[in-house]
Amino acid sequence: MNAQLSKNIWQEAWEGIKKNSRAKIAFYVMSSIFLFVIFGPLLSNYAYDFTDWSYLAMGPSLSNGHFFGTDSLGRDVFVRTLYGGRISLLVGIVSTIVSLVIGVTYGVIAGYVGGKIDAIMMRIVDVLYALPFMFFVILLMVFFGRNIFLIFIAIGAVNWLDMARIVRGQTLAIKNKEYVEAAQALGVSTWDIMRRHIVPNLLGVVVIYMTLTIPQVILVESFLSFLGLGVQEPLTSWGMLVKEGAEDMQNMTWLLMIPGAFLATTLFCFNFIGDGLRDALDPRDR
Amino acid sequence: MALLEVNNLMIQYPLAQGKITVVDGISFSLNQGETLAVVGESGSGKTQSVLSLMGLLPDNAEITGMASLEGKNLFSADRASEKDIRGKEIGMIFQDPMTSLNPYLTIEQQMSLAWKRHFGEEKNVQEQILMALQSVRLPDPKSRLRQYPHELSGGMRQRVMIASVLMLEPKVLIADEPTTALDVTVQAQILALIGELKKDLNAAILFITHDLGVVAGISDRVLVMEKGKIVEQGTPREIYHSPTHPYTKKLIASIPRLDQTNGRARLSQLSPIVEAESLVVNFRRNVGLFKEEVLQAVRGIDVTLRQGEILGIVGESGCGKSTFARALATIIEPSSGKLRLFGQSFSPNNQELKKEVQKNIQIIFQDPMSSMNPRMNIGSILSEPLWTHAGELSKEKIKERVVHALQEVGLDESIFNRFPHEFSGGQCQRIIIARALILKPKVILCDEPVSALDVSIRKQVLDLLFQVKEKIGASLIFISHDLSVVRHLCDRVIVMYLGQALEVAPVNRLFDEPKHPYTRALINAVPIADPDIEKQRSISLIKGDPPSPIHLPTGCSFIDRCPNATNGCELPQQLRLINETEVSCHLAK
Repeated sequence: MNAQLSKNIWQEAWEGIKKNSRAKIAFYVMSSIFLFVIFGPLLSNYAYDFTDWSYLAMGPSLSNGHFFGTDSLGRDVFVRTLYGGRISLLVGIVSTIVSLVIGVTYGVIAGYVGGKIDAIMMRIVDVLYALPFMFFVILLMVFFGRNIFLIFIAIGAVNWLDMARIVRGQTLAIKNKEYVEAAQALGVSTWDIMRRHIVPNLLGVVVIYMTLTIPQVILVESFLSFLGLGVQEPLTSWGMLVKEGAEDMQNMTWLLMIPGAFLATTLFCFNFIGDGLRDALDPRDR
Repeated sequence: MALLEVNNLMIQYPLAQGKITVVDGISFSLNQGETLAVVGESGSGKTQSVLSLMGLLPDNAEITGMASLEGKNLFSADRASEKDIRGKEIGMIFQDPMTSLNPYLTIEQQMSLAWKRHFGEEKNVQEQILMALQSVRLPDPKSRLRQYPHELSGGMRQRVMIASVLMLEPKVLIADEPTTALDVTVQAQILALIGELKKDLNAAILFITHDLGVVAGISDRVLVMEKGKIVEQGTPREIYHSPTHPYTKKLIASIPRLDQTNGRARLSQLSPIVEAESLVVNFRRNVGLFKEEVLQAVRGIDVTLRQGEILGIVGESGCGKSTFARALATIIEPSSGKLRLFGQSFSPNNQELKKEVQKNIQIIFQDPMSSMNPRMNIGSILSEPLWTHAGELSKEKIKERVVHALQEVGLDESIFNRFPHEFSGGQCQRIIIARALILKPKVILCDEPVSALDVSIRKQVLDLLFQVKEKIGASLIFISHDLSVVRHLCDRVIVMYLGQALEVAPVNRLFDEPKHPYTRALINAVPIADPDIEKQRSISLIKGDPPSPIHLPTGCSFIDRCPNATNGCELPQQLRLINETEVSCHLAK
């Protein structure tokens, strides 16, 4: 039964995307970027941390195998961009999923159970909101050192707060629907009501919010990397690459332009897909 | 020449798969001082056609045909003159006065907006507004000017709406289901008002409705629409007494008449299954930081529901009928009073009985669409009761019972994997009935089960409900504000007002010899779908709206609106038995 449910919403989403040409193109571009980031490094002979002393700070060229050129340390920009993409997309998706799981669970419980439990849970969210994000990240870095997983935790730990609030609001609305009352009157257990009646009807909002969160998270990671709090060298991310590129902007434009283009395209794609999904899953349009 | 003439009007919308025609070549005319009723069910195109006259259709609507007001073509008008027509030439009253008034504007601001648009800044706007409010008999118009829509009751809001339209003295007044969202007593007041205004102003009125009963008394001509076409038109007498088109016949036949005796009603002598004794339900809500307000929704009702009986609960909105029924079904916990279900006394801690209640009391809600989870298919919706209460059943067995239940309501298993939005309202309500009967409950609680449905399918759904109930031997609790439906279905009726039962009686006795003045007023307010009866009938309207359940009168609940209130009414009233009727009025004989 659950398979049917999820098939239904994904089908709906897919049909909506197909109808919206912008979202459709964005979807195909995004898929290509994904595939490229995963399989692209196979096309190159270089490793992401390999220094090619014979080609330092060279522009893009097909003949020597540095398709996107090299940086001032002779590292291949093509491979580094794709590796950076893996990290950026990983951060984006993993952090979003973390915030999604925590946020939806938290929000549904707070919204559905209501009363004092709701009040306490939401005040906790308010308190966490008040913590300055950068302070929180710096604190984590100081205690645990720089680590990619800390980034997931840091971003996820902040983003679920938004998700929890949105989900709680939606749950409050769904809770008053007659089909929930019907299920309550029937004696369906609280857990089953949340699982079968509330969560599936939240999906529309959640999916849309997810597509909007992923680019936001990628940007946050870029920002952290830009400040030097992000991933650790020689590993890299799009944010790091853009930061390094910006330092050598006058002499080596490709160092900024290429990762920048990937980052921008990805963000655009997610935003377009999000727009498309919002229209496709909006119950008022049905 | 007619004031308003519409010729071969056609409205289409472009869709991906071609065009959809919502209005298919209709022609009619409206004369000065005439009331034309346009009757049709949802989707018949009645609202679309009048919106096109106002230029209010969405931009993608393709309109062909002619419509002229005093010889001026309404469709050739460019955007600017369109706005001159709206309001000033053609005024429109909408269905729900709450949503058609802006909640952020006072009545005065609201009404002066349209005035300023058409007549510019003038010093006497306020005077005009006051006059308009007086003409719709709004009590105390001066103090209303500063009030906001939410401070007024539904009936008063509709009066304000009518006043703001009439103030501009439009040549044609369009009323789109103006009484559908209102209670019967208020509906009767508004209908009477429209009738009076028609006489006073000699206005041309286009009255759109789905309810043939409403227009029997006030229309000069009736036009019946189906699927975008006019299928029949004529005087009310022709339409009501000798309809020619099969659709009109069907429509007329499907209206339950309040003045016809219910032949199948009988009093059940079987054992009681639900017994309530002085049941009270209070809701508390916080007002400000420390103050609490108590809303007394149900104030001590005794009732016995016997096996196989159909018990009707009627009353205006806010009288506590839904709360009372939910308390009987233990969805809402009563604040005090005794409740015995299936012979056992109910307490919230008795888990076993609770389980039994959940299995044996099923509910059917008003809006069939929203009582099904839109993300679940019909199969899962129908099997939910089974795996909740008969978890030991195998998958095949569950499926078998679901299919059986579907057959019982005239559907088949081909719809198993389809989703609620693919069905019409009537089909949805059938599915809901199937879900309610699948556990073979002892009581089915119906909360306005047909109010959201079109008139022509109401009867089918009610008949189905009755069949199902007979077959499984269940009792029904039937909540409705529609007295004619109650008369035709129920065996016994409780009339509720402000959380109290004012009259409890067998159905025919209640309608033939109502003993309480409120019951009389309610029955009187229901329009009868027969122009002859309707025109002769002298309606004694009760004044005002139901009072708020927070500030209750001390004595008889009905004292503020009662036409015969005298000495003794300020004392609390008790139900007492006269013949077979229990009535809580000390004047009743």
